[in-house]
Amino acid sequence: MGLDIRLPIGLMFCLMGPLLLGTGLAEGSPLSARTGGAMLLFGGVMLALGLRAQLSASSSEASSSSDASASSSSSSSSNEIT
Amino acid sequence: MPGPLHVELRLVDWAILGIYFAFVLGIGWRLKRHMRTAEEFLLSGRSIPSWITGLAFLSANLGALEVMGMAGNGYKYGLMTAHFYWVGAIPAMVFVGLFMMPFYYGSRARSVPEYLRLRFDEKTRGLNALSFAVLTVLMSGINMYAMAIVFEVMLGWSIHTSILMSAAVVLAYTYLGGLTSSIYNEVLQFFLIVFGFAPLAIVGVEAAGGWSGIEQRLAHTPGMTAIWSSAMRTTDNPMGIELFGLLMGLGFVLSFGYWCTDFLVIQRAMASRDIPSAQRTPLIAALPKALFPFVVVVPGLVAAALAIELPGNRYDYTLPLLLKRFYPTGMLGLGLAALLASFMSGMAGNVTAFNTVWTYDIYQAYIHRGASDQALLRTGRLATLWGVVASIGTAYLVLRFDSLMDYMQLLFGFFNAPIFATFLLGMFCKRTTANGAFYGLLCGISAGILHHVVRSVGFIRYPSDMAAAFYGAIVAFVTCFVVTVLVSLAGRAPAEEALRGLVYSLTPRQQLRLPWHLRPGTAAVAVLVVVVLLNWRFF
Repeated sequence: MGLDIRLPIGLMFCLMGPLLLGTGLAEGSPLSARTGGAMLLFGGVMLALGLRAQLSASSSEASSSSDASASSSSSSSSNEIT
Repeated sequence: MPGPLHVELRLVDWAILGIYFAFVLGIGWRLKRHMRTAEEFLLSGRSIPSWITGLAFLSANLGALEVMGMAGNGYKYGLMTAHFYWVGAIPAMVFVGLFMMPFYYGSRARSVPEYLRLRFDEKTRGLNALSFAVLTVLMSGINMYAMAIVFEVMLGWSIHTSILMSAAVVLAYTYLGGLTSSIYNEVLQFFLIVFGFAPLAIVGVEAAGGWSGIEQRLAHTPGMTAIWSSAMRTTDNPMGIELFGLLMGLGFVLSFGYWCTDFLVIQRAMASRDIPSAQRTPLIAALPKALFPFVVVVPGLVAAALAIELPGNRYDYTLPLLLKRFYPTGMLGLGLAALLASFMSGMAGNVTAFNTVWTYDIYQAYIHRGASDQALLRTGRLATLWGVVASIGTAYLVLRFDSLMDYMQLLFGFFNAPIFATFLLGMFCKRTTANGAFYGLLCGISAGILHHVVRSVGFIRYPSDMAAAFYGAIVAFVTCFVVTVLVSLAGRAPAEEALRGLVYSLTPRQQLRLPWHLRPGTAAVAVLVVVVLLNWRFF
C-alpha cells in the first residue's frame, strides 16, 4: 500500500521515548527514564529498518528502470514495502 | 468532587496522548488515496506481509477484553485467567493456521459467511452474516464503554462526551483508510500496549514482594496462583469451574469457536499475500499471545495481592487503579495511550469486519445484487459510519454486567460456539448438507440464548458467571452439532464435485517448497513447546 509501517512506528516511539526519558531524568523517576530509553531504542531500530528497506527499494527501482530503458521495453516495479 | 481514580495529567502526559492521536489519524490520512476500489478498502487488496497480519491478528483481539477485562479477571479469578491464553487460544490458533486457513484463503471467499455460501447455501450464509453483524456491533460497544469509563473515572469527563470523542477518532481512520488503516494501526497499537503495560506488571510484582510475595499474600484464597492443580473441583478455585467445563467449554467450544470462525481475526489473515502467509498469520500471533498473561493478568493478581479496593466492586477498574497507583507523570500519559490503543484496536477490528460482512454478505447478496465496485466502496464507507453509530447504542448494555469478560464470553457462547460446530462438520465431513448446517446453526444459537434465559430466571445455577458462560457455550455447540448431523442424515448427500477445495478429504494437499523455518509446521511446534513449558511452570 506504499507505506512502510515501520517508519511511523519508529517515528512515534522516537518522539515519545525522549519525552519520557527527559521527564524521568528531571523528576528522578527510574521507571519513566528506563521506559523512555527502551522506547527510544526500539523506535530507532524500527526507523532504521524502515529507511533501509526504502533505500533498497528505490535503488532497485532505479536499476530496473535503467535496465528497461536499455532494453527499450516497458517494465514496472513494485514499490510495495510494508 | 474527584473520585478515587481521578488523575491530574501534566503537559508531558498530554503530549504523549497528542503524539499517539496524530500518528493514528495520520496513518488513516496517508492511506486514504490508496482506497480506490471496494477490494482495497474492505480486503486490503490481499497484499500485506505475514508479520504485519500476524500482529494485527493478535491486536484486533487486544481490545478492552484483553487489557481491562483480563486484568479484572486476574483480580477476580486469579492465575486461572491464563487459561484464556494457554488453553483458550493457542491450540485453536495453531489449528486454524495449519488446517483451516488453506480453505478460507484457497476458496477465494471474501469473508467467513461467503465461505459458508460456497460450502452450503445462501440461507446459511445469511444467518451467519446477520448474527456476526450483531456480534461485532455488540463487541464494538464493549470497547467503547471501556474507553468511556476510563475517561470518566480518570479524567472526570462525561461518559457521553467520552463515547462520542473516542468513536469519532476510530471512525476517522477506518473511514479514510479502511482495513489497511485498521491493520496498520493495530500493529502500532500492539507495540504501544506492550510498552504501556509491561512496566506496570514489573513494578507491581516488585511492590508485592516478587512472585513468592504474591503467592504468600494470596495463600488464603485457594487456586489464585495455580492453573491446573486447582481446576479439579468447582470449590477449589474462584472461577467455580472444573476440568470438563474448562477443557470442553473454554478449551474447545469457545476457543475454537472464536479463533477458527470469527471473521474479525480471520479477516486479518485473509489480507495476506498467499496461502503460506495466511497460515503463518495466526502462528506468528500465537507466540506473543502465549506471553501476554504476564502483561495483563499479572497486574490483576498484583491488585488482589495488595488488596486494592475496587470502587463499586467493579473489577474493570483494576487496571486504571493500578495505573494511578504506580505510574508517575509521563508514564501515566503512556498508560492512558495504551488503554486508548487497546480500545481503538478492538473497536476498529470489529467495525472493519462489520463493514465487510455488511457490504458483501448482506448488501451485495440481498439488497443490490448487481452493485458496481464504486457502489460497494460507498456502501463499505457508509457501513463504517453507521457501524460506529450502532456501537454507541450498544455501549450502554455493558453497564448491566460487573465484568467485561463475563459479558463477552456470554456473547461468544451465543454466536461463536454453534458456528464452530457448523464449520467443523462443513470442513471435515462431506456428508453435511446445507439444510443440516442452517437448521443446526439456528437451533444452536436459540439453545444458547434459551440457556441464558433459563439461568437468568434461576432454573439453573452455576458457581460463577464464567462457569455459566462455559456451559452455555457447550449447550449451543452440542445442539448445533446434533441437529446438523440429524438433518444431514435425513437429506441427500451433496455432490462431491461441488465440494472440492471446500472439504478437507476432497482437497488435494499442496506440497510447498519452503525453507524449514518458514514452514507453518515449524512455527506451530515452537509455539506448542512454549505453551507446554508455561503450563508446567504454573501447574
